[in-house]
Amino acid sequence: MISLVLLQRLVRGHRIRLLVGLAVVVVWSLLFPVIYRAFVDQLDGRPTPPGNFSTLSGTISVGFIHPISIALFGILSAGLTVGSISGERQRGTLELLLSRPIPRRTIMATMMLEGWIGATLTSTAYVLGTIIGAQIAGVTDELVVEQLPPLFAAGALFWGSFATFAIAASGSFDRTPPAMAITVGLIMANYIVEVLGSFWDVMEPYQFLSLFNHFSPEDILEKTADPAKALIFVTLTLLSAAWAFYKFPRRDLAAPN
Amino acid sequence: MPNDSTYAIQTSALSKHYGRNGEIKALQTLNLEVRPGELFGFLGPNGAGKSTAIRTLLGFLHPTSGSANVLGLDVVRDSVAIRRRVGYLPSGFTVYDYMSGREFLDHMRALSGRPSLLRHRIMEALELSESILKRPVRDYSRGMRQKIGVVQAMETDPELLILDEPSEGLDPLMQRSLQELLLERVALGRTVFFSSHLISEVERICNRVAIVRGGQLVALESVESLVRFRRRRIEAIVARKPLRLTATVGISHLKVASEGKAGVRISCDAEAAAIPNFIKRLQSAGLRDLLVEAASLEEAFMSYYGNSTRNTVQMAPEIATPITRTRRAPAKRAATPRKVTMRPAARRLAAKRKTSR
Repeated sequence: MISLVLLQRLVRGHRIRLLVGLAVVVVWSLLFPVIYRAFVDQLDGRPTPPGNFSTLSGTISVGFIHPISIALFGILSAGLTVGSISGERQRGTLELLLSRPIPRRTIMATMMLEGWIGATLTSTAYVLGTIIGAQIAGVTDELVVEQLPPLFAAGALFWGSFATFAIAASGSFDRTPPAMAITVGLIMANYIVEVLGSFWDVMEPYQFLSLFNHFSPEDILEKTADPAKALIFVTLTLLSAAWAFYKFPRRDLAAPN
Repeated sequence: MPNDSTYAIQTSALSKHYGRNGEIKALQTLNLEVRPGELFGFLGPNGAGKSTAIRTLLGFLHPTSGSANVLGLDVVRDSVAIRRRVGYLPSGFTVYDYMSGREFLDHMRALSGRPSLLRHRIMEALELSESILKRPVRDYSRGMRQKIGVVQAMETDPELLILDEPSEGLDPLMQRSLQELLLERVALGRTVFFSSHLISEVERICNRVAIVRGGQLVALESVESLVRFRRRRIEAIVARKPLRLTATVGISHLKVASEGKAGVRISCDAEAAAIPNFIKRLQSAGLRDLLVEAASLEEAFMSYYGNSTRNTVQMAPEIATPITRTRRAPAKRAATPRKVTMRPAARRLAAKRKTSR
């Protein structure tokens, strides 16, 4: 079901992006416990105002869904898969790959796995950065350590579902730009609905439509998250994978232009 | 499941239509039979359907109707099994730029799951050194990349080689080396199916050739047969003007011109069957010099296209039905001279003709 030779080549092809991206995620995520500590120090014993930065969990949560994080996570998960099939098709290397005795579903599954590896590594890097940041800032005692594995799993699932959507889009088009537009469009539309709903009353009733609304790192860290919400991302993953495995093997792959 | 393994490739009314209503007919009822151990040429202009046929055989495209078997396996149901036994070089071959030549070849071989049996032999023939393979592929010239493409297609010694424009980007010397490699493989019982726009190449090494146009097969013949039925170009110098030359059946484009003291120059196109009688008439008029050029495959090829109107392909009676003829030994074929008669004066005549063009 998976071609290890292909997986090795895919990861190798993206290794610079992965290494640099993961290093940036670690640095980015360690900033938030430090910011939290600086915020608390500035208050100097005064009552903490309401808001995300009033708790370490809230601050970490902001880091998880900050636009910069979304760009980073997106590049390292959906970004790996969105150009995998359509990119090979556009370069003309897909027919070389398909000339080997590998079923199309195996190619699809291997490329999908690479996206999940990216999402998992990114989530790991974020949690790792958070731990390092908490150590640097001296707020380790406020960190709910036992909730870090669920946070890691939720992050990996959230971005893994987008990676699966991206590979489904990639396998459906001959060129990367349409697949990229659809994937970025999905992420942006969800994010915009979430952001608008958070400060605009008119949009608030529709906030639940956003996938970001169902991914709350703060709730996970504070043990108030509803585990059933994970089903939303599992469903998105399954639907995308079903489409990808249905569509790609049936597609005609004409000669690249 | 294995079907009819008598043929390396067999298509039956294979069609591929594109578009919402199937209005683009890339391939129309293609019937093709390629025998094992054959070096088969696939000719046609751009957009004729060559690549569509190849891509259908490899399972990249799904046939609209008809069927095709490769090595006795159905191209739709057994695509993976077919690819296990086939080597393929696509037209406009591209590579993963971040790899070295060696890494690329190792990767492609690993994906094929077969051992590399011929890499060194092919590298030697194509003058690819180990030091070249260590360099990143992005630094390679077009020709070097094509050589890498040939190696990846052939190195596992597949039963069937499907090559789409294999000589693309190769210099004439390397083209000849590649042709020798292909002949070598065929001599060992492998089958080679290749499309080319280099008619001379197909003519030199192929046993049989299929010509496609507008997605339809217009000829499927041995190269010899294809050429044999085409016209010959005759140039002659005779002492005096022969009588009733125009009445000779099978002669066309007759030109008679006085050359003064040298005699009368006659040029025409002749069908093979008309040549003996025509030469007799020339002899009766005091034949001084004679040049008979066998039609090249290119002329045969152009003849098919020249005779066809926009949507109708007129097929010569002898090739209207795909007939298979006795296969020639490729090496012998390569050595067959094209010119029937050539004397010094005739050479001068030919040179003069070229100059006047």
